[in-house]
Amino acid sequence: MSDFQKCIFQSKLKQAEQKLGFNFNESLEEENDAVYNHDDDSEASSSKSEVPKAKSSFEDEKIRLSWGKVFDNNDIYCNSEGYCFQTYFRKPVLHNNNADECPVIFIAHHGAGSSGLTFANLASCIADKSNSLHYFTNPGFFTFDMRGHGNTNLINRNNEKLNAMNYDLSIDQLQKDFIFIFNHFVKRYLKSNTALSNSDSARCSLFFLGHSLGGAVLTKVLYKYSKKTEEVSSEFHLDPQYAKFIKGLTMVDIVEETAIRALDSMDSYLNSIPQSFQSLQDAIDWHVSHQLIYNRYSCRYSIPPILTPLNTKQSGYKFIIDLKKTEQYWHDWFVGLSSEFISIPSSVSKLLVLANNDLLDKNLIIGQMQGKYQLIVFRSSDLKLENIMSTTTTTISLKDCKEISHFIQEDIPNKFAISLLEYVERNDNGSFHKKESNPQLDLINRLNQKWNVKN
Amino acid sequence: MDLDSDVQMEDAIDQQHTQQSPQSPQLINSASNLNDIPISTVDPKTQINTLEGWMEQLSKCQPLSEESVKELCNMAIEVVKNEQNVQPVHVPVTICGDIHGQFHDLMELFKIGGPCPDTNYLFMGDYVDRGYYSVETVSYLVAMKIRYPKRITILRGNHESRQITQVYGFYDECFRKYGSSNVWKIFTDLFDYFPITALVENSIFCLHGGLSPMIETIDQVRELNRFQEVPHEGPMCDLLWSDPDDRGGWGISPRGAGFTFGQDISEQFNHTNNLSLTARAHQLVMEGYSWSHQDLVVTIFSAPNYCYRCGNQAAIMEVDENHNRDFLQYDPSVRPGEPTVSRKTPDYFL
Repeated sequence: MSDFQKCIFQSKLKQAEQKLGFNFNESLEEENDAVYNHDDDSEASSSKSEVPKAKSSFEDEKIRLSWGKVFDNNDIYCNSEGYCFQTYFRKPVLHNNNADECPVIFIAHHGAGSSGLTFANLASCIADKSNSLHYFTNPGFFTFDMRGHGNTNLINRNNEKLNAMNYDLSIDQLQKDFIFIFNHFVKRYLKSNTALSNSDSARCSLFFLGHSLGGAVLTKVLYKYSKKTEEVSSEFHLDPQYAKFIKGLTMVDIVEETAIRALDSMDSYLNSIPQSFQSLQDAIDWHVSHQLIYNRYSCRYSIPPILTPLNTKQSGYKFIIDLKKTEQYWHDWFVGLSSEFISIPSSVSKLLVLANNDLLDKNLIIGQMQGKYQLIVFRSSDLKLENIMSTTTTTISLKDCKEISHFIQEDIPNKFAISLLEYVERNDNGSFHKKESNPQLDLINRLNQKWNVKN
Repeated sequence: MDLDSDVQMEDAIDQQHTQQSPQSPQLINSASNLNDIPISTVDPKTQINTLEGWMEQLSKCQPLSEESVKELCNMAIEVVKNEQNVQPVHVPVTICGDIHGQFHDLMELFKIGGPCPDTNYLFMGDYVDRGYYSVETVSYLVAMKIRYPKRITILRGNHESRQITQVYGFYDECFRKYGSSNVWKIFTDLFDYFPITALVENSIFCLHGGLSPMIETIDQVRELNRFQEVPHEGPMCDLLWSDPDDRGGWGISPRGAGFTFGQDISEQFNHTNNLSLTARAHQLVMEGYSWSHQDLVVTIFSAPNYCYRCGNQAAIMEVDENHNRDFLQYDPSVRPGEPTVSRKTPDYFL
């Protein structure tokens, strides 16, 4: 849809709203709630949660959607310096007892200013869709609050030394953090799984998923790993025993050239954001009205964890992290990103997901035109046309938003989940496939066998 | 305007009357119906004049009216629907790769390679998307095809599809230039009729992408029903999407469609089908052309400085009467007033 069309559409929408006396966004929210059959999840707010809770009103608690609705574990990982990370893990579900069967696990890294729960609605949709599309396994989903963000910030904030670390968002530090978390996660989860650690034939498929800055961190980690040029410091090494299971890397809405140019307007953006919100609902309203995120249901997962109560005397919330304090690191976050993404060897399948336009920089265009990665562009204009998606076996009603912001995973979690599952099915040589078989892989294997090709 | 002695308009009239069911393209013998009596109500001379007028307008990079585009595409359908899935092509011929709406570079291509119909051309797809003049580019090539049907062959690329053009610019460009999606629809309907491969003197197999694990012989390509939107998978999709690769055998393509194929596969395919070469486009190569699989496969890319910023050369491949091959490389045409690449900056990068 052209900008012109958009203008017309929006002005018509406004007129209609005025006439009818209500807001279409509100009705969308109700629609989403109905779809998810959301009622107060008492379990989620029970003792299962170790997350320190903000003092907040009953209304605020009703709005907040807990991590526990989607994830099974919320472990805290502490590194050798004592700095601790909040993690979230939804375990994979295997549909048979084959000891060799290995799960697909997404490992996700959020971007600056967000939190791990930006992926909560997506993770829930992935589980949903893998059931309804008859995938063999129900993939796991692991994510965390990165340094200085969300609950990770809060659990380190009471110690002066650790609190200072909250603001070290240098790209090197972020990579070290991720490597620490990855190694800790695989040790904890995969090594304790005897079927996986004992069997030589056991395979596991890990798919990295990084939004914005998170995509940059994951790309740089994998690029360095593939180069193996980094000095021995173990902080910079993915556990090789499990790094070989990394099958894919998805970058969500991040293009080096665009991101670096956007840095110029960061200051004015950060100066324009409110210092505080009266309530969680206010905060969500602000994000939606500023078109930062469109999907109010996803916001109920993702917005509360980036806010903290003002203080004991005053009601209201403020952002947990003050990104202005990290300005010195911004530039290095994205430099070299596109060429590194392209250079990661093809044993890791690469996917770039963008919102609304295909504005690639030179390296990404050359890479795309050489067939080095897959590009998916979701556009608001396409979404208006189709709310139903048909596969060969199933018809799915997609209750996603009709607009897409930078937070693709939040705005259109259903559509995104389906695309991710298709991408995983295509690129995973392990056990992830629809119940019948994977026809493409079967064909390739048959033909390669026929011609005695070892791939 | 005088009719060139080399004018191929008769071919077009002939072809209009060799119509056969689009579902059985393999049955069409291009020589069998040449003596049919034309029953066309359109006076050939009028048609030629109209075409010449369009071509002149288009050569100045001015788009046709919507009405004319409709007429143009209707005429084109009559020409290309009777072509074969594996369209036979004779030497000498100049083989070209992706153009992607870079109209001025297409004009440069005709300067370097010689004007059509003096030079015979074979284009291997991807006329639209990404560049600023997809409408003019594809209109011009299609007009040329109708005017000189035996002198120019235009194959279908993966971008000649409804789905892809909605993402990469052609749809938006049509909307911008015509105020509706009508022209986009007219063109994408036409694309369904484009032949998908060509065979130069039974020796050089030409197509946009590459090989398919479901296709072992060229005859199997002849059996496909090509009159449809480019499918998401299957042999027709692969022919328009696959890439040669350093790894042997078949592989999953990182593109998300088609496959990668190794040298062993190319050897097998060229041997089985008695080919000297597979020529294809689809991938940007910095020198404009690139050999792979020990000269069994060549990639030709004809959009210089792709997207106005990739810094690559473009190339075309001349094949003469004796089957000698020669590559002509060229740089982007210099032109004033080229729209600069202006890009929106997002408000934030969080």
